[in-house]
Amino acid sequence: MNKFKSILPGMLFALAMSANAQQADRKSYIVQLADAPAAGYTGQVRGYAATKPAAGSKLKVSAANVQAYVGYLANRQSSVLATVASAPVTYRYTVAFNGFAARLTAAEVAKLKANSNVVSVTVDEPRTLDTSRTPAFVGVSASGGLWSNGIKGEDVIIGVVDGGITPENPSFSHKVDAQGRPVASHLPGTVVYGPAPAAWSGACAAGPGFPATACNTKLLGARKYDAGFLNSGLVKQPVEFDSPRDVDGHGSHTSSTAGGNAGVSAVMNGLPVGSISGIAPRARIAAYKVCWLYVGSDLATCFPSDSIAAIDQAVADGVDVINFSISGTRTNFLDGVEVAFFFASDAGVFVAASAGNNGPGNTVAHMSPWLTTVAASTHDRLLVANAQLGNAAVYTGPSLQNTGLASAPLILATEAGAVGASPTAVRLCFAAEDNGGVAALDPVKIAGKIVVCDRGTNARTNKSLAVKAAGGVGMLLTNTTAAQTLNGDAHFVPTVHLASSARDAIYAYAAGGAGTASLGAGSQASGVVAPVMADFSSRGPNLANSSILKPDITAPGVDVLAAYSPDAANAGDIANGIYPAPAFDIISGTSMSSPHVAGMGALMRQAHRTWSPAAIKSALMTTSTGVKLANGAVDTDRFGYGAGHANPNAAVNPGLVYDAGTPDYLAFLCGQGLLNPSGATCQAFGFISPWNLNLASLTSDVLGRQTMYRTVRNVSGASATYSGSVAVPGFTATVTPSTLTLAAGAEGSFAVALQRTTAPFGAWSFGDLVWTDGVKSVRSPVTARSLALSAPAAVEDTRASGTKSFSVATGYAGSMKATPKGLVAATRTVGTVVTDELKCDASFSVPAGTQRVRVALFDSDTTGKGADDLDLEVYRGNTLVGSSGGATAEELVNLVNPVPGTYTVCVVGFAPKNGSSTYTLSSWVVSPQSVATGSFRVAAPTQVATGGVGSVAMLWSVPAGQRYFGTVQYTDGAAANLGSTTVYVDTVSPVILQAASSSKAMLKAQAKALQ
Amino acid sequence: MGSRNSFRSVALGVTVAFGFVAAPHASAVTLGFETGVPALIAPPSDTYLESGFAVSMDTGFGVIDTDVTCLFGQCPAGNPTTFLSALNDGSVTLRHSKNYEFAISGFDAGFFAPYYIGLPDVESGQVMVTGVKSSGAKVFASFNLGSTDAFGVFNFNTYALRSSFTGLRSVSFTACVATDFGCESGTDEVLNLSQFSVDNIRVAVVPEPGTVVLMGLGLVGLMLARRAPRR
Repeated sequence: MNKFKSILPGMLFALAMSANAQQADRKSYIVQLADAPAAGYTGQVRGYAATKPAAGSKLKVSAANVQAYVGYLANRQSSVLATVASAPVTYRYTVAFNGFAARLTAAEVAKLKANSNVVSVTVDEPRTLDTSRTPAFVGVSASGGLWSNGIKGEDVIIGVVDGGITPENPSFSHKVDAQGRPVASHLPGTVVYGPAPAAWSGACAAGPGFPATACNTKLLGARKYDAGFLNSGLVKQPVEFDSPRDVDGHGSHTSSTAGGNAGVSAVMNGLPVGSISGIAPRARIAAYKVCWLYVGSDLATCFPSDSIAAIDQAVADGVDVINFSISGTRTNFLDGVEVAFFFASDAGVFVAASAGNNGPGNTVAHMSPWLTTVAASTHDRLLVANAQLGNAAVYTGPSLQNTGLASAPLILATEAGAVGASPTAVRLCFAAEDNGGVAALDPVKIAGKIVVCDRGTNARTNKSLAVKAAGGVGMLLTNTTAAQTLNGDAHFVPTVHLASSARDAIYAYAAGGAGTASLGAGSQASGVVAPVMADFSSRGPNLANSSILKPDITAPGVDVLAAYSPDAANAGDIANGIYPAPAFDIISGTSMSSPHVAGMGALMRQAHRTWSPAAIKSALMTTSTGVKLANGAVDTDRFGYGAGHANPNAAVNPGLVYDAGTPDYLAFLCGQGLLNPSGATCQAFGFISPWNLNLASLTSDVLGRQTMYRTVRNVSGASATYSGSVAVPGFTATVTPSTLTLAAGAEGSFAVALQRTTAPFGAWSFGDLVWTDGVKSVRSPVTARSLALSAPAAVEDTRASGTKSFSVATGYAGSMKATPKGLVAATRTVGTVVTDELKCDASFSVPAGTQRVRVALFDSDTTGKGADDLDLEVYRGNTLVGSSGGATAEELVNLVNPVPGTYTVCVVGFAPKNGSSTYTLSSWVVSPQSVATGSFRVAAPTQVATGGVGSVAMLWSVPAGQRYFGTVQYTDGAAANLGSTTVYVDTVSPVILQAASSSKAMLKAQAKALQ
Repeated sequence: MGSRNSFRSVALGVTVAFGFVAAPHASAVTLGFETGVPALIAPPSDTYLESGFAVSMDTGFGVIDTDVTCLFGQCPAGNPTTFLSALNDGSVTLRHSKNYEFAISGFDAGFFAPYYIGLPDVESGQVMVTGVKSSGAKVFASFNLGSTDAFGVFNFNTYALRSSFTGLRSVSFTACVATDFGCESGTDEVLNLSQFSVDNIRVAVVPEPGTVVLMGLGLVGLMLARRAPRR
């Protein structure tokens, strides 16, 4: 028998907070039930055979055992639903997720939460879409690359859960023309794809703009899910199609990036911009539309209840890979979408998901270990061209065109203004839409000429649109300051973008209108520094559990050229076989990087039919390459890119893999206290610490010392001896054993021990563990943080009176003190905001010594009751210090140790229902002057030991019906501040909302970047 | 706690049995920590009162709540009610609020771990009970708090004390932690780890000799008074 003390590891505590449960209106919730879904069912129910597919095979939904078990699940669901009989049910899920989505009252939520068959009840909080040369940049199209070895995703099916697809784009066609180039599937051509892979059992759901003939042996199937969206009360924009047809462009973009055909000629703004290809160009595609454009927003919205239905169906349809470029939870491993991916992974489906576009802050989403979370970085496409003036002077700058332009008369825009146009509008080449509907340039002066336009104010591409509209044939776009960037935009006429240093000479030469100029064809520039992390890419550490590294990997996600949706499509024309011309666009986001990795997953699946999703992820991670800073130096911040930049050519033969599967993930969840510890699952699979989950990344807090355990498998096909080495700055690091001799297919285990030497408390150190056989290098990121104190960051409860007890771990010996502050009741401010308005009439003072500020909006505190999309921005003076841009009015901004001053809160009317919303804003300031409501006490250990633990407990009693905020500050008994735990007591909401990512902030930043 | 819900019915059964035996000469009560809770008891001055008994902490501190208090699932399993947890090498002292002598016949307790253990057959430690009589004499008992079950969690157990635990002015409860060297408490190796939860402390006030005499006189008086009308 083990003695209690002897089994104590150097411990830290995962701070997974369970959100607990009150509200009159019905809201949409996702309810997870206890039985395994069909994709993960292993035969525990008497009379029902297992349905989980074996490794390398897929779930057959039509099989008798699956049908029987699905029937069993349906009965069990019905008995749970009978307890909330009046609740409207949106979806039932049985394949990758067992449960349902329904509109519930607070009382029904409480009833379901008390039902032992119910695992979780979570709010259906809508999510947003996150937004060539990249096959060459990642190496697959290079000589000797995977494509040249026949690894192009042959017979692999990529499911894309997104905003639908434009079936007429040649990227998604099964045919080529006489020159062998992909041609739209409704046009004549030669079929170059065989029948659908045997595992495929999906369907083509026809609808407006999407005839049944739109699917083919390349685009195998397409479906749409909008019940969750419709439940929300939002109204689709008139341009939306009630079918899988993509209107937004995002779904076509991600689909073509992952698995679009190779050699598709792309045209933007009427000009050819080269050819594009997906990463796995021979893969088949299945589109699942869950994102919809709605009245009052330019940003499509995607409800988790719809996404879960799509994931459920994709697994049933037989996809091998899923791409999910949609925002997601940052904190909840049991979020419905994450759980659906858990079972998709269990069924052998490799899942790539976007890390989020809320960077460079610590905002990484989709943080579950069973999926591959992708950050976004730059690639090296930079097409430049020469502009040669009639005086032989040559200037070079970005130019996204490959045709060039013969010599033509050159004119300054300042000398070509329309009568009555303002000089500024003329100099900046305002298009009619920038100038009150009136063109600023004079067609008589401009026709047939190359025009010199200054940068500034309007979108850069609108300047070339103005030139084109006035009959101009080309543009020289001149910067006006040295600080301005140079951009390879898709212009409407051939354009070269020039630095401000060239401007004076060009103006001097062109003045008077007697000059000429010619443009060379754009060609790839040399010496481009890449990959560099995109500023917008959401960074780690993992907010749900800091011992699971996220993001996992990075891939190109900046200025990615891929298929898009045409500006206008007409269902009637399409029904008659008349499709709009295929469209393409260059966009940025982790939405664009995720499908690169999904495509790589398809290549890996073709090469290794029986590998688990975890093995594929491990291979991609351990063979990844370095990331740079803009100045060319090495970027050492792992929280930007995880293991590194994906390198699929090496990943296909990684030598060793770190494998993991459902038993490991369940033990991980049990170890987090997220599953019932006395339940059958935790009994069967046990408990493991998060730092011991068998991932290809090793990540942990260290209270003095820490040991992490891993197992690798030799997948090289031959016996091999690997030697290991590990180094982490600030720690003595050892790997034991340091040599592993493994037969083909054999596994070996080892331990990595870290002992703190000089690592500063509280800072993360980034190191590497490398196993090498002399040829291959299997590199894992080792990420460690030395701590003086490990305490939960936040404690939440819905009771008006209660206690919370938790352990803190300590990395020092001596005395300890815990000081409570609060609980402070919310200050409530009523206001009304209309569409696109920034309402800034709430302000508060932050005195010196303030520890925390929290500002929140709740759906239940707005007139739209969940149908309003309001956002929050918090300013100190004119400085934006925090913002929250979720898809409804559930918004939260937290400020830690804020600078003293006067703060203003602005409520943004992003899309209030019916154009206006009256809201009540909640804010809390926890400062030395805060007036507490009720009582709040804390007790803590008086003495602590290095590597030891102690218990902290708090007691509060407050009047019900309000929300309260406070902190517990830990010190060493003297001055040293060791950290704090925030305390949030919400006696109003049935379920405490968890922050999710959204792309709004990036969209705003992008709108600014286009100028 | 589904499968172990029998805990409470067992406890009630014991209480009833004890109450029946003890009834002739004392008022037996079970201290269930169910009133005026949740509560936090910190030394030196916090006191929890129930049925005339006062509970305070000499070291560490105490928390009274259901297992909802446990953020990391540290609470011993098998008790759906509120109970007292003595944390950070905590020592619990029980007195009668009027300083009456009392007897203690048993209690329920479980080991309070710092986090989920997740391994079966992990030995926890002991709970030690020290009674102090009016004379200053002490009685002592210790009990194993048990090992983790097949689910890797510690459970509440029921303990009975010898009949010598009577005539007491105070009773204290402390714990120690199983190590390779025995059962230790308070050393650097195990600092703050000696923690336990306690519930359903079965006590009875022992009437003072003077009280017995007065009660006897009262009974005689009552009998006489009831006879009087018949005359």
